[in-house]
Amino acid sequence: MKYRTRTIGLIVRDVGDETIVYDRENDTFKRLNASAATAFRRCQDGASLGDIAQALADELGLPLDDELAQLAVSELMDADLITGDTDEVPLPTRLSRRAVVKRISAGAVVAAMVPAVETMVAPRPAYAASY
Amino acid sequence: MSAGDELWLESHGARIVIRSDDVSVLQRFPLPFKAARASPGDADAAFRVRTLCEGAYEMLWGDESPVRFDHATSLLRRLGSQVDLAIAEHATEMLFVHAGVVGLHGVHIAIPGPSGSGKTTLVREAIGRGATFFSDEYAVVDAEGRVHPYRRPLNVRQGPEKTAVDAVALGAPLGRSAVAIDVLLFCRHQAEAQWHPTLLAPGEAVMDLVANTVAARARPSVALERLTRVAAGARAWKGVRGEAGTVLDMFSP
Repeated sequence: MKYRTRTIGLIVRDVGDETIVYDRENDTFKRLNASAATAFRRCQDGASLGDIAQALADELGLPLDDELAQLAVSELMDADLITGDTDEVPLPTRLSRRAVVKRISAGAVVAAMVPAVETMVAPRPAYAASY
Repeated sequence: MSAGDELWLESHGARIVIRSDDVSVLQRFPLPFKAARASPGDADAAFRVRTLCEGAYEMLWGDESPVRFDHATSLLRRLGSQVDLAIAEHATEMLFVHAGVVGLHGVHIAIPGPSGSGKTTLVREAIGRGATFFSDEYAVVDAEGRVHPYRRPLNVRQGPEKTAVDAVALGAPLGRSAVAIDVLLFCRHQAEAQWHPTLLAPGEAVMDLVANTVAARARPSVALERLTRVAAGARAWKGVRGEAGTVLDMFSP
């Protein structure tokens, strides 16, 4: 199973170790924290869960952990930022973020490093009016 | 309608026309900061002011429902805000973020937030502490991520009404050139709250800036490019505040 970054309709900008993406299809801004951003970048050339887990370990020092990689994939797929080859292997199980945080926290991984994607609808100009 | 009943403006690449059947409205309308009179042509935004009976006015623009004003003063204040917003929306050279901007003890501070979030209170408190005034309304961001002044009177809320107060009259030195922002303050006012802000990651700061960017939807690529530069160079704090002074104590020399 390979996951690939969506290539059409996205504007991608890195800031620090995070990534902000604008999705033209639904006018949303998405913030990928460091681990989600790492997984997203790794998927640009196609990546398996193992590839993603290895990237999280190599680049961020996270434990080599398939559940972390699965959570990253789940977050990125929910945000419509990556796609998978569904013909080969079923999608990863939708994991409870809380369960993963609880489990790996015991391994000294801070919750802030758990893959997360925050989505915000782009504001309309009138929102900014002041009078 | 004759040409004498129109006022054409251009600011930051945006072209605005105001039409009125009362020429005195156009004569009394204060030009927005760095706006210049322009020759007639295509308009990015058009406003129309109609006189009603007994000194009342009606303002129409875009797809908005007409708004009635009982006095020219309230009409002109609202018209000014809407023209500012139209400039912010259609500016071609700059990116407008809804924010107050001051320089306090050598630290350039931007305070993004929507109307009612308490920006003006913080700006006014900063001026009282000797701050240089850049803006009460918009941080105007250039391609390098630097912020330019956008001066207009402070809209100080007094009960349900707002009163225009000139920053110069408050004794504020005026910022005259573009600056790099050192600190972003994302505050929400709540009576009695204690100020215990959280330091944001740059990506979080970008998202909060985007939420206050007028043309974020129309020019997302420009917004991302410039706002990431702003956020990368600044420390961003977010929290609920009580008194404005407790926030600004962070910048005491």
